[in-house]
Amino acid sequence: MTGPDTPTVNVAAYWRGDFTLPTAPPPDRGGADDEPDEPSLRRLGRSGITVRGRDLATLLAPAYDAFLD
Amino acid sequence: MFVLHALWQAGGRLALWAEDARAHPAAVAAGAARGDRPSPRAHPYACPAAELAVVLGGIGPGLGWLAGQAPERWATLLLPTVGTLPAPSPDLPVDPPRGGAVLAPWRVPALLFDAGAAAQLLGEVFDPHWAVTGADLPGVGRVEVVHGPSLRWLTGVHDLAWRTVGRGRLRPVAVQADGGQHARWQPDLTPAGRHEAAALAAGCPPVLLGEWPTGGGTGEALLGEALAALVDAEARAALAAAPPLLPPAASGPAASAPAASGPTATAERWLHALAMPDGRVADAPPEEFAELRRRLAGWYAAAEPVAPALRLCFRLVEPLGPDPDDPEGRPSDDAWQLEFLLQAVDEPSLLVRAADLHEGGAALAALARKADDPADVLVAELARAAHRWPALDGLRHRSRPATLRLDRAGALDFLRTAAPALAEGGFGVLLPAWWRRRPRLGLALRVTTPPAPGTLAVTAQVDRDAVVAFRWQAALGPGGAPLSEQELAELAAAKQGLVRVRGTWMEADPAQIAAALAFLAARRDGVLATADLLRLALDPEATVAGLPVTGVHADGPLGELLAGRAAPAPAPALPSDFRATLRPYQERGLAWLRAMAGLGLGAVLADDMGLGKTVQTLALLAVEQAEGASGPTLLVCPMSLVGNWQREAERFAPGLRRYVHHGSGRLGADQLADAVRGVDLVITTYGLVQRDLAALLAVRWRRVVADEAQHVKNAGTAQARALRALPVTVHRIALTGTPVENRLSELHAILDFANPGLLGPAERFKERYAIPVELHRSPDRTAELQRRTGPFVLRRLKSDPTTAAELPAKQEMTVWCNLTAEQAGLYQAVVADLLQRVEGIKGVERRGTVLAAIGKLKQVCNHPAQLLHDGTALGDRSGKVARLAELLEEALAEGDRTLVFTQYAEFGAMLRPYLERRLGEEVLYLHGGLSRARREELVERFQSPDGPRVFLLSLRAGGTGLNLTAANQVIHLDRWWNPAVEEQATDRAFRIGQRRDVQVRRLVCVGTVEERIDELLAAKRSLAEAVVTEGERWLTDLPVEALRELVALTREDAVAEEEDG
Repeated sequence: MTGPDTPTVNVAAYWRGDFTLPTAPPPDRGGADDEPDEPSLRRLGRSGITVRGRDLATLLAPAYDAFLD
Repeated sequence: MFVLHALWQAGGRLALWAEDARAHPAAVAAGAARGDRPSPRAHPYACPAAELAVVLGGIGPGLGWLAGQAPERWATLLLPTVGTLPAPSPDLPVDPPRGGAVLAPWRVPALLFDAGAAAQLLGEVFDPHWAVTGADLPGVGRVEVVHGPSLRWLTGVHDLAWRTVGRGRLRPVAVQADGGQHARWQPDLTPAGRHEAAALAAGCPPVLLGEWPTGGGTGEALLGEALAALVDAEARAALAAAPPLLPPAASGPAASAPAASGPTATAERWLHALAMPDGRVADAPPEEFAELRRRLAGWYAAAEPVAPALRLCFRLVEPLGPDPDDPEGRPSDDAWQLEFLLQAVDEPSLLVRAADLHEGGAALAALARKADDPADVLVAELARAAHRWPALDGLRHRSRPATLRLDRAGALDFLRTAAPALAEGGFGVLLPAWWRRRPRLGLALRVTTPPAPGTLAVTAQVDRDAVVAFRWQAALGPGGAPLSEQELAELAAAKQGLVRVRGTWMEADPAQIAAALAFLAARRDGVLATADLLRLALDPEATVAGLPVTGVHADGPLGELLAGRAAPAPAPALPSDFRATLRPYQERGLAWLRAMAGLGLGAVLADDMGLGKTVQTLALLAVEQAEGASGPTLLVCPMSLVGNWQREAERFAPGLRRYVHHGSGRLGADQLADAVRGVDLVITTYGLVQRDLAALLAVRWRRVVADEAQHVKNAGTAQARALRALPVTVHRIALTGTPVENRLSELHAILDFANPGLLGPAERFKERYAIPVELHRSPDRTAELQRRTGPFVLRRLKSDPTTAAELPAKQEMTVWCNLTAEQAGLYQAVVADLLQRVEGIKGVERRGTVLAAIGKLKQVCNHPAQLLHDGTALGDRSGKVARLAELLEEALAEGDRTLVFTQYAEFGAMLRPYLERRLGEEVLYLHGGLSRARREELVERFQSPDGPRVFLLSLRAGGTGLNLTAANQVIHLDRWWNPAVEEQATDRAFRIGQRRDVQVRRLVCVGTVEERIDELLAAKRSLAEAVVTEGERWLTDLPVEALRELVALTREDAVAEEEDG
């Protein structure tokens, strides 16, 4: 199945990769890129897209309520 | 024992397969025999899919149910292969094969889970602590099941997705994919989420990328796909139990069903599909769906990234020099460049051109300190900016975007529409300076002398009745030089767009150009009244024929006035009976007042206290009287200043005919006009202007002078309205020492008194200047304010070098105060008692009686409460205390510090709390009852740079020995009648170490013993000598008549209180 030029592979690394599962949600980082962990909709403001006379942001609000429940 | 492995397949499905340790030995044994089968071969010890379903069921019923729903499929993936067999994963408890492994494709039986089921499964098996679980298999018992790294990695991705949805960090999008239209939820990760995702992507087990033959992607791409699919699945799961997103229609029962057609229908269908399991948007016209995508993208693009390290900036560069795109190197007006730059948000001076960034080196290194990959930021931010300005779309395929070439139309589009939109989106926008000033075509007015034939001549003196000749010219404003005929013609030829005129770019407005041409053709030259000219010149929003007035230029005195230069004419000669020599700055003030009178314009003389506003005003009146001017000037002042004006007028301008409208016996409307006929100066108070308005309106006033004009700062008060209601034939003057330039509403009120209506309504004035000048310190608005108000305000500070050079180092002044009616009543009672008691007594007894009575009179002059010792409130019961408070307020406003001396410790104790309340500042008080240490402490506090600014001292305790050079104002509240004692006290401030000029004021009550003795001291030096040697004892030996003359109250002079009636 292999030819003389086929590169060999590190079996363990191929299966395992190099990651760690977080045991708790990552803590807030104290850096310049900190941002308030607020729902995306709150950062967007009004969309200007209206459906049945209501702004999309308003219509989507219940969805975000459901996500946060 | 089983090891579970996972594969995330294109199309958003999870393939689950497993190695079975029990099958491994047999596979090894048979390995060689299978070597000749075609590749890819079936994995020899992979668990059959049906058996995998059983294993999952053995772990738990939830997994069992999911497995029962999952179809069985073969998946093919590259696995490390040794010889003819796939190498076992490290978690499989078997001996690893010997020899090097290479990747080869193997087919594995798998259970396939769609995104929704995958989300459930991955959530079920997520365990960050343990990778091993157990399964109860029918007939076998409990077996060990290991979650292989590929499965664990995907549980990590799912956990991030689950938390992302739970925090609402996702956005709905419209997606065109797989030949269909979809409503999907996309993750909108926080920076922490992005770090976590990046770590997962970097650590992705390569086996997850090994699907054959379609694999070979990156961990980042795989993570993006899996995360997006799992976020979408979790969002739909959350919405499954929520109310529909689509609101009920206004009519009909089809509550949450989308409309039939139209753009709204597309949006409705998309919204509806967001909560549906498959997310498919049915039957939306492609163009409407594309429009929805565009609008959604625009909405998201508008959301600024929070706290980015780098900011994309745009700089518009005008065409300069040869056009690089012109083969012959000719310059072109269409060779505009839009440069891209990156700026460090926390270090705005670190601004690097994209071109320099691409070249690497120092520029890149500097930015790399702020962000991992500045070039990536540039590309990402350009993409974000393209949502705001589609002209940037074309850069997407450029590998190293640095600039965008624009023609004139493009540059104008950028300036007009893109720049504000980009700035609003958080991008930096650097525009040419001319665009910020926005030169506009307008009209400039040029006024020349001599005037048009047949009109009055404009001489060296500005004349308010003059009519001046003018010429309009087209000009670029604000403040730009007029355009020549040729330039205007070129502008007209350009019609519209960006045009370069005199080397400056501007936006040509065809309507404005046409209006200017039409106006100039019809009304280029003419004449107009000086007053109208001034209104045009001073209104920054003035327009003519719809065009802004960009400037008014005049020569001669009018030009001087408009330029805000004082003294447009030499000071007039003072009449010979004027008993003061004006200092040079006072002469300039007189000339200015006279020029303003000549122009009929109101004047605000706002010199610092002590610079002689009174003497300048009196000089103006004296000059006019000598010239034969007619009509009285009405001087309105606070009650406490009536006596001062009387005395100053007597002293400096005895030739002025005066009349005081004051007191209970004042005249009514009929008599007043007669009484003031032939009078030059009528003195009254603010209170009486309001109360006796009818009588005052009956007189034709030459001018009205408002002294301490801050009294009219509230334009709405009845007092201020009454004052403004008085008509004048020449002009109005406001005198104030308060630095009104710092309080703009006050400034407007005072200027509006002086020149009603000239500066527009207070609200507009406030709107235009109050916030920009007071709050934002806008230099442009400040300059404009100065330009508009400058001609009407003359303010000299005593600290101005030219003024200070003309002042003596120590200025001594007498400040005249009036008694209140209460003071006068008490005063007369004391005098009557004295004169009665001195009859028939002699020697020591007489001396004691006289001295005691004189002391009482001095106390009455200070305040009734001092005589009565009744502890009553000070209130408004003393003209001297009122004047003291006014002087201190003025001194504080000018930043001065003041020593106030009194010979009465009791009076000092009464004054201190009163002054503190009135001034709103701490007032120090040093008297004989204090310990030495306490006195030193007070002196030290007063001398410290931020110490209290008013220091009350008893003459005995504080008059000698102390060093109080922090003060530059000294007030002697009551008279010791011994100049030497006052001098010593004054020298607390006026001594070595004093760096400023010192003003010394002696407060003297008009018409009282204080004034009599002050006159004696001033007139008779020899007597003064006697006083120095003998103190007040000389008074006690005066004969009765002389004593009566000395102490009697000349009531018509002395009392300044507005009595009812």
